[in-house]
Amino acid sequence: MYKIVLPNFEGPLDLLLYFIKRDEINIYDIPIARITEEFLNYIKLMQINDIEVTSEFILMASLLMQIKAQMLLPKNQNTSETQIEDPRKALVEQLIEYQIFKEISESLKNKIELHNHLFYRGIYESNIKEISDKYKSFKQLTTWDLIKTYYEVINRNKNIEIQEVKINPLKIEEEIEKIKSIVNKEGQINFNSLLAGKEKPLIVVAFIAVLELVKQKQIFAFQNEYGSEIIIFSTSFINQN
Amino acid sequence: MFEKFKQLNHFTQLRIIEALIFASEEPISVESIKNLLTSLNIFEYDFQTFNSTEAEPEIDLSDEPNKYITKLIELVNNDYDKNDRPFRIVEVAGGYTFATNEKYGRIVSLLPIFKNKKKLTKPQLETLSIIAYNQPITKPEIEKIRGVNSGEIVNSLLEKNLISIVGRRDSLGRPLLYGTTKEFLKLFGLNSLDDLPKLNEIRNIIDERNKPNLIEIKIDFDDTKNQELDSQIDS
Repeated sequence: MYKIVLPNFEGPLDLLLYFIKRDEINIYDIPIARITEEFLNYIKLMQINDIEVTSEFILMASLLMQIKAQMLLPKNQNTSETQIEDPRKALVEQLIEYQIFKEISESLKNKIELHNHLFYRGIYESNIKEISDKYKSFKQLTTWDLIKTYYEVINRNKNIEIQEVKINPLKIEEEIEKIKSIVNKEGQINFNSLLAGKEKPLIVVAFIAVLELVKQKQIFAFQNEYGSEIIIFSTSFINQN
Repeated sequence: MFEKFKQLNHFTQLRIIEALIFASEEPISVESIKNLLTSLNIFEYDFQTFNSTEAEPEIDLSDEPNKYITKLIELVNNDYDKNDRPFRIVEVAGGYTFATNEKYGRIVSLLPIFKNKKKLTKPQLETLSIIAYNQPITKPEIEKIRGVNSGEIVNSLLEKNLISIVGRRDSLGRPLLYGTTKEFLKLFGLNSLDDLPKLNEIRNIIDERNKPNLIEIKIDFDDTKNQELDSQIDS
């Protein structure tokens, strides 16, 4: 999956600040309806260009629409004007806060450039290892490296426990014949008694055998109610009665 | 006793300071140098007097130990500058360490292993500045200011050793707290966090910039037309 980051915008706040700067909007009096429309158009543009619209953009879009709706509501006459808080207030504060840190990161960037010549002396033990690993080439390898690696491989496999997997030679055909003969002899039988005392793999095989026999219409399986005993009849037994 | 150290040949004093700073992995503080020089009996060591054709550098013996050491460092640096050495002793991250100087350091920056070391992306810089000013800070708090998910960015800064985990907040979920490291100070050539631009100053700049544009009205006082206009209004 490709992750495309639009070059100019680090997120919804960045995008809003772009609109504000481009249109020379007074940040303390943002025309919410216009900005919301622009914002939604931009999201559409992202979708057209197959750019993943992250949840942050969706969240901002819904926040803008909420503010827009709040501003459309008629103001309550009973409350004095000072009590009514501008619904844009929190967003504006967030935008200004973000502006501040954008400005700081810009000045930090300049500081890096200003100190571009500074390379400190130090004991770079960790760095030396990092660099040597990165720049190691086959030419520098010796026979000793080969032997060492061989021993590492040998010792790595030493402690691995090998487990034997037993294969039970179970054949569904055999089980079918077995069940058929039991059912034919008894006439009818409880499904559970077929499974009694059997191990898991055998239970599975028995179950498949019963299904196969039902499919072939050699037996019928009945159940009085949900969860009750399943009773298996031989077809010939039914036909006789 | 520090006074004993002062009695040594001045050249020897400079070389001792130089050796201590040279051998320190991290920037060494004046305080540590002072403590070391105060605790050891300097005359147990046999310093052969260095025969220099130059006169011993002038040192004001009346200075406090800390100021005295700072002055010695200055003298060492003067020596380097005079001889066009490619490095000098710089004050960074609360101490003194050797670093390449402006004239020759830019050549070093061309070495492949150093090339990407000083490069930070826009989101990395943003996140770093938020952490620097609000530390200790949790990831959700960073994300609240930036308005975007910042997990990956925080991890990349951890990898670069510019920030570190400094603890956990005693609130629901006990989230991790992040703060800047010595490497951060070294990257930006800062002695301490106090050397960062003041938050209030930046806030004022932004406030000034956010002020709505007022329509500028120019009044030209020498314009006779204005006077004519005035007289018309008067009459």
